[in-house]
Amino acid sequence: MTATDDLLLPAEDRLAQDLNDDTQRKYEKDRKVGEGTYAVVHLGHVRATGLPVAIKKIKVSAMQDGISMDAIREVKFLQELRHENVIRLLDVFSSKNQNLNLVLEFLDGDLEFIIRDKDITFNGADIKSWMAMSLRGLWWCHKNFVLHRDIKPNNLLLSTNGQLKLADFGLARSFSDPYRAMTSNVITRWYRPPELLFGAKYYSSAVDIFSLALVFVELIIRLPYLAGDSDVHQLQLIARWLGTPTEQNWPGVTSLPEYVIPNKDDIQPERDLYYYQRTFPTISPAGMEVLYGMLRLDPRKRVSAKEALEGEWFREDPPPTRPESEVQLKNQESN
Amino acid sequence: MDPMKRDDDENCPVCKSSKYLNPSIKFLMSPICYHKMCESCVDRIFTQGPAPCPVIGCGKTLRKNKFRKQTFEDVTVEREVDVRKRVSKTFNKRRDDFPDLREYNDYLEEVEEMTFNLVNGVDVAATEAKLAAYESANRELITTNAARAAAEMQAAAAASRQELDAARVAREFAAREAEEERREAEELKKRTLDALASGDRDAAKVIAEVQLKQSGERKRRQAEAQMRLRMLTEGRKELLKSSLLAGRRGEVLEKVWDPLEGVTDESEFYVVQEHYENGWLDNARKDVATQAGGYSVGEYCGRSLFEAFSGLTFFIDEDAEKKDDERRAPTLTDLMVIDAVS
Repeated sequence: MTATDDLLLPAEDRLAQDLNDDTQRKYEKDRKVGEGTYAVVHLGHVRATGLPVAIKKIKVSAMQDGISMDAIREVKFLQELRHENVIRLLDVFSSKNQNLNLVLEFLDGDLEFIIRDKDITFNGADIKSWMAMSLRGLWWCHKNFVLHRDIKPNNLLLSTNGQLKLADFGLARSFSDPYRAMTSNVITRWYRPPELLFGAKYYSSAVDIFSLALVFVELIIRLPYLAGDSDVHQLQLIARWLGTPTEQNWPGVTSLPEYVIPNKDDIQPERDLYYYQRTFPTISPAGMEVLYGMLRLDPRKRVSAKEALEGEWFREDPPPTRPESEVQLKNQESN
Repeated sequence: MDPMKRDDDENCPVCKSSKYLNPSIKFLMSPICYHKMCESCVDRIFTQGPAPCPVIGCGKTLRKNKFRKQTFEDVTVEREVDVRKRVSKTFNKRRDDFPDLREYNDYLEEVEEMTFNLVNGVDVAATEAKLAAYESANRELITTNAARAAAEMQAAAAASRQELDAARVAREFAAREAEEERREAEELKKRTLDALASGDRDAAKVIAEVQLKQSGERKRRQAEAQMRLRMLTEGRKELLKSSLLAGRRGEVLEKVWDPLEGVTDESEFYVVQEHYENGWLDNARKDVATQAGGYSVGEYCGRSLFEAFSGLTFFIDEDAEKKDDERRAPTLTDLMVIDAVS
C-alpha cells in the first residue's frame, strides 16, 4: 500500500491498517518449510525476541471467491481454544494482495515422524504420555463443542519441550444442532470411523475418538493399522479387523445412507477386549480396555475423551513419561 | 590496627619499606598463605618463577600471578571469604533441587560445617577429600547450576537495561508533550486575542473551553503513560522471579495422575440431566439413522446449557483488572528472552 492510498482510506480503516502493519512487523519470515494445497508454511521468528514461530500463509485461489473455508475454520476455532495440548494461534495479519497469514506457535516434530523413523525407540510409558496429551487436547475441543475431524499422526505435533499439540483445524466444525446435516466426507480415510464411511450425516465427538484409537494402535505396531486404498476397501478392513457392523452389534446401522455389508462371505464378530489384549500384549490389559472403549464400532458405545483419561491404564505403573523427557526421543532424530 | 596510624605505619614485612618512605607503595598478598608484601618485593622475588614465601617460617611455594590486592583488612576475613567462594562454587545446589525444605536445610548445614572446618583448620584433609568426592560425583549438576546462575545474571542485566530504555522513552515522551502543550497554549492565546479583537465574545469563550478540555485530556494521557511504564517495570521483576521459580529440574516428585490436569469439566451453575422433555428433540432421539450415526442429543443439551449460562459472571471491570494482571504476567514471548540467555 502506497502513501497516497493510505490517505484515501477513512480514519478507521487507516487505524486497522496500522494495527495490521504493527502485527506484521512483529514477525520476520525466515525460510519456507512446507507447502500444502491451501497454504505455504514459513519458519519465522519474533523480531524482538528471536522466538521461533510458524507463519502459515493462506493461498487465495483464483477458483474461489475470497479465502478458503479451511482457513476460516482454522482461525475461528484456534482463536477460541486455548489449551496446553492445542496449538496456539499467536496472531493473524494480512500481507500484500490481502493474503491471510496465521502466526502459529512453532512445533518442530509430529507423531508420524516418530512412528516412521525406525531409529527412534519408544516404550509403553511414552505411548501412554502421548495418548494422555492427545486425549486432553481432544477433550478440550469436545468440551468446547468443536469436532476436530482430522485426527491423524501428522496432525499431532510435538513442541520442543515434548508437549503434544493438536493442530490443523482446517476440517473442524462446531457440534451440529439437531436435524442439521453434516458432511460425512471428512477425516483422512485410514482414520475414518465406520459411521462416516456409511455416510452418516448426524454424528458426534465419537468420530475423533475412533481416529485417535487408530493412532494408538499405530503407535504400538508402528504401521497404519487399517490402510485402505478406497472407501470400500477401508470398510472391508474395518470389518476384517474390528468386526462386521451388523444390527446385532450396532442397532440401526442398516438405516445409515450408504450401509453395505463389506465382506458378505467373511462375517466377523465384533472383537472383544480379550482379542485386543491377545493381539497387543506389549501394552498392559488396562491399556487395552482404553483402546477397546475407543475402537467400538457403534459410536454410542465409544468412550468419551474424559472417560478414556479416567481409565485405570493412566494410573497404573509405569506412569506416563514426562513430556520433558520425551525431548530426548526427539533429539535422537536429529542425530 | 589503629585506623588513624595505618597509612604511614604500614610497612612491608620483607623489605621494611613503608608508605612514609615510598608513598606509592602497594601491598599484595597471595591466597595460599595470606602473607602480605609490597609490589616491588613480589616483582623481585617471583618474576623468575615460583619461589618460597620469604616470610620466616612460612616457605610455601607461591606464584606471581596469584598475588592480588587484599580486599579486607583482616586476613582471616579475607581467607574465610576465599574459602566460602570456593566451597559455594562446588556446592551450588538450590532449593529447587530438593524435594522438601528439610533436605535442603540438612544440605546447607553440611556445607556450612565443611566451610567451618576449612576456615578453622579442623580435619582439613578429610574435608578436602569430601569436597573432591562431591565435586567429581556431581560435576554435571554443578556445571548446569553455574550456567543457570550466569543466565540469571544476564537476564537480570537485560531486564534492567530494558527498564532504563523504557524510562528514557517515557522522559522523551513527556518532554514532547510539554513542548506541544506550550505550543498549543500559545496558539490558543493568539486565537482568543484575535477573537476578542474582532469583538466575538462567544467565540472567545468556546476557545477557552476547548483549551481546558485539551489540557485535561493531556494530563490523563500522561498519567496513563506513566502507569504503563510502572507496570512494565513491575512486570519485569515478577517475570524474573517467576522464571527463577519455574525452572525446577532434577528429580521432580512424580505427580499423582490427574486425568484433566486440574481443569474441571463441571459448571458451577448447572448440572446436565440425562433427559430433557422437549418435543423438538424427540424426533432426533427416535430417528434410527441419527442415533446409529452416533449423534448425541445430550451433547446438544450440554451445549445449550453452556451457552445459556456463558457470560453470566462476566463483569467488565473485573475483566479489565484481570487483563491488567495478565499484561503484567510474563508472556510466552517474554519468557523466551530468558530462555534465550540461559
